[in-house]
Amino acid sequence: MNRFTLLPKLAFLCSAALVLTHCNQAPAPSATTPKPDDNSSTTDAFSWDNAIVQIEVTSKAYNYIQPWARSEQKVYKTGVVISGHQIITTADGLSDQTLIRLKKQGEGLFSLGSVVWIDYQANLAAITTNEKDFWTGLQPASLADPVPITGQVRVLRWRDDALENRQGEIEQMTVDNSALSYVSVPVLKIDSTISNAGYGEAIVLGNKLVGLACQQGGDAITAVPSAFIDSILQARAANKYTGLGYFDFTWDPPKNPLCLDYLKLPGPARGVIVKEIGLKPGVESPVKPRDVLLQIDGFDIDADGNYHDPDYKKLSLENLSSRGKWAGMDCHFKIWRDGQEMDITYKLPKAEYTDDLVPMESFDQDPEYVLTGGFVFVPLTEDYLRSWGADWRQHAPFRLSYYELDKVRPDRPQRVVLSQVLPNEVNIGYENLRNAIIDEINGIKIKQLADIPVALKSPVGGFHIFKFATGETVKEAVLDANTLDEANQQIMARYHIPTDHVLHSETASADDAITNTTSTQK
Amino acid sequence: MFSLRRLLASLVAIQLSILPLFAAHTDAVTPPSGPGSTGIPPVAPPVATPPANPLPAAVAPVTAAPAPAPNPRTNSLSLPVGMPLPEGSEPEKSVVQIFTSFQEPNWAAPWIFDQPHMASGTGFVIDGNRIMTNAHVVAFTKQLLVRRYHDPQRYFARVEFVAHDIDLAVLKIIDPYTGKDDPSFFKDMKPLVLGPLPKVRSTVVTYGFPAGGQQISYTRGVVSRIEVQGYVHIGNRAFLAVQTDAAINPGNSGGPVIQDDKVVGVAFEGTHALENTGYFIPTIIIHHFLEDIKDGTYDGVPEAGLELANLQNPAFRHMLKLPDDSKRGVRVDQVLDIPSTQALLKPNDVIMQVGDYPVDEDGTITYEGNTVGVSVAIDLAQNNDIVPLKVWRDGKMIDVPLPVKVYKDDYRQGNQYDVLPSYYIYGGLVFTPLSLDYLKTFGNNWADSAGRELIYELAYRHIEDPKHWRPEPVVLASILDHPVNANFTVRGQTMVDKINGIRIERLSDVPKAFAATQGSDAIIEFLPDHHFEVIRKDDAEKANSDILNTYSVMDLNGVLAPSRL
Repeated sequence: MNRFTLLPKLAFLCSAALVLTHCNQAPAPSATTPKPDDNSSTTDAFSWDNAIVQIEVTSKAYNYIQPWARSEQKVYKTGVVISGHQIITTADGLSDQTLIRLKKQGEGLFSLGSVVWIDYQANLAAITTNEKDFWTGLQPASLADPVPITGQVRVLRWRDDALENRQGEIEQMTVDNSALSYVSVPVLKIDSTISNAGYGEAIVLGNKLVGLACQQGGDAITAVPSAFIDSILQARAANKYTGLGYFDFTWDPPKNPLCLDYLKLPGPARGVIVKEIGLKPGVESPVKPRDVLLQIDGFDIDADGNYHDPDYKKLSLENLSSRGKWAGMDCHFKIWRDGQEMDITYKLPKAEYTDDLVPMESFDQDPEYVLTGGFVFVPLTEDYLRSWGADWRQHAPFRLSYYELDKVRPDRPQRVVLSQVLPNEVNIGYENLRNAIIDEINGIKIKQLADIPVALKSPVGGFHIFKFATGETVKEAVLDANTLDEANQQIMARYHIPTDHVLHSETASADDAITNTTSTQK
Repeated sequence: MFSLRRLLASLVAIQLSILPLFAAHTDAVTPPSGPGSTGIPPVAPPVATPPANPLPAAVAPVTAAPAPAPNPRTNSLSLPVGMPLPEGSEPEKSVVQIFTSFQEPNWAAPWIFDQPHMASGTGFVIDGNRIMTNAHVVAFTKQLLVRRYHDPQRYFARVEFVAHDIDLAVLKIIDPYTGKDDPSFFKDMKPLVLGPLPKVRSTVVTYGFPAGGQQISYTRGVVSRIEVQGYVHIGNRAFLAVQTDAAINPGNSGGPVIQDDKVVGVAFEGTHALENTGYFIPTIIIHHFLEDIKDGTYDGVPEAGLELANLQNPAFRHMLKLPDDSKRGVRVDQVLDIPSTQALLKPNDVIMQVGDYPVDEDGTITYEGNTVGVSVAIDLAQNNDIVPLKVWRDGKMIDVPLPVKVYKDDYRQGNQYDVLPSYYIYGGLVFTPLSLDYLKTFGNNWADSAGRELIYELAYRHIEDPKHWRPEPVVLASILDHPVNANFTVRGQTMVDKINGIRIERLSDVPKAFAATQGSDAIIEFLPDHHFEVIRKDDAEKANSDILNTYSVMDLNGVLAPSRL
């Protein structure tokens, strides 16, 4: 696994461009092509016109600096009809959606759609519609498995009510981080001159779907290969899909043969050396640092960290965490430890965004915050850090950015930030406090955002005492507890803030503590 | 929200855009690249720019207000004021042009020196047959020449004292053949006299040789602002500075700023961020320097070891039992790791007065009619002085005689001058202490390219994670290629955790740890990801002289020099 090498979210850039090209479009005029067979199209010759669907997604857009603010954004995606009256597409762009509309064959009115399932870690989603007529004339596509790893393909999507059909050439099948996650998945790299791709465009060869485009950089398209999609669809159909797992350790290829000598591994260089383990909180890893990982599920691991895949030749060992294996399933490792070979069983941990101290994503949830006395507290997330732009690692406050490298601990599942102070009479003198990690309030440790309402129930001598983490510009601030409720109402009115908090999960005491508002339910 | 130790990143925002004013000599073959003159980001931690869509526009950054106190030696905080020059005086006759040939070490390959450069600055004659200028004019100098007003001859000079923290230096003229001081240079030259802190809006004139020109240049402007500024030469200190709209350009460095025939400052910094903005060092700082060196040694400006925060919030004032009608007092937010300070002060003490200066709730004092940060009062003190404080604690006023000392433990977080970087080479592996100077070898965008771990280790670990802090973190700076190390995955720019299981706390631990190798192989572990490498002891030791010869790692006597510890 490689949780620290995060791909830029090019897909979002692509979607923005698509918005520009489509948002002024009126619905297409009435159909000008012959109506397909209403009952079944399976007897007709297969045409991608009948299998590719345009998806319009309207969703909520958040401002993590002002987490109470909402706006709207619209993107256009491509989906492919599969069996069971479902449309498969990438998950990117579907989060926090408020309206999905589907358009087929480049004509007619949009139909209302809905999400059947969505898997952000795998970057896949299935969409359907209750409008039965929608399916008339559509043909389910079949998925290539295995997918080709060389040769020409076509890249298809609806644009201006015409099926855009561009040439592409497969560069390679490789293993990389999933577009919305740190988990490793197989990806297909395709060279194509199509512009603004990366939102589910269909990569096809003949009548077979080869993949769904998920990112683009220059002429290089990254696609989710259909074989990977198919394996998840089959597991779902068999009710065996438990989400993606991953190898929760880092490793090095032993470029320096003396390292293997030191570990007393005889013979030619092979395997990889485990570096760090157990980033997932609360999971005991059977793997130890300086184990040499020799074999996974019968596949020999070479000194570059690759195995020989029967379908795709040389691939990174990371692919073996999702090659027909899902979270909770066992992988069988052959390792070298303490001068001898050992067989161990490795249970794949489930990939979850909350495993990270600074979660890289948070989907389908309004941003959390707590407002008190003009102090705006938010959890430290990458969503918040991305407020400084795509290159936030350079531009966000250094210490906040640094926490991305830190780990969740039982006593510190989250870091909570005082993001800003909304000026008011009660907080005079603190106006310039911002981006400071809160450590405790009224003597109570703030391990997560939900601890704040609880701590505010226990003022000390009529004061709320806020202590910030060591190293912050200011260590302590004090507010008058007796005037706080009145001030909160005044501040909310002055800054047009509808509620003084949004918490996804509140402790019982937090519920008691908050009397004026209700929590946003998810 | 201001530090008396001035280590904080909050200062950097200002400093990044300020350049020392140091001009290339017009005859110089090489472009100007004097210490700091190329806009090297000067201070330790990288600084965050505000968010793209951040906070209400009404929120303005707090001025980094510094701090300080009276001069207990004299029991008076008033500064000596110089006697005016005789009527008809011509200050320009006491202004000199200084030419330096300087050569900086390479902090990534510490046995190498960069190409020598030539540059020029300005200086002026003060009493005692001395020339005052900026420290950055003479840093890493190999040869100093001085030219008098309307005199084509160039005279040799030496640095008598240099204060890199406050960017000042004093030179003496020497006979190049005997090496002895040559007072004849000063014949017919009147020393300039130091004046007071000029008033805001008053007019000043700068004297200097901007852009390396041979004729003296005068520029006139007003005093725009007087406040604490980052001193970018050292990079991690801030002192009182005067801002003027008089043009101050490279080459003006070290030149006098004159008002009523008296020196009211030494020009030293400019900024690209603001138009018509130059800075000069006020005489309060110059006096401190001249007083300090009277005993033949420059100690530096002492630190109180306090982080202070304004105390404007009524609730906080109420909690600390301050009288309702009082607007005085600045709160001790944190006490830094200076034992003498920790013994006397604690968080939430309220400093009501420093020396004779009452402290307002926003952390300012009134100094010679100007509102300045409280640190200014403490900066009046010399090393080991006692600064008398009036402190509000537990509802009562107490007197605290606070000893202040020069703090140098953070020297690696600032720019270093006139010292050679230390290193140790083993089997082609080049080890050196982590420092700001080392990080700057990563290029102009070092803050991006150095990686967050190295920056955190240098600038934040000490404060935030003292349990894991190392007094002198060591990096594998580079690898001198040789078959003995050719298979290393790590190629340098990586922090060293352990060697042969021994935690590396400082560079001197490295040779000891290699000497402790048991068996045939030495094991080197790196941070942050615990990667390890193995090098064969016999092969490394055999290869050492080969590698040192290949890369000419030698001392001045041509002897192989595998280390400078």
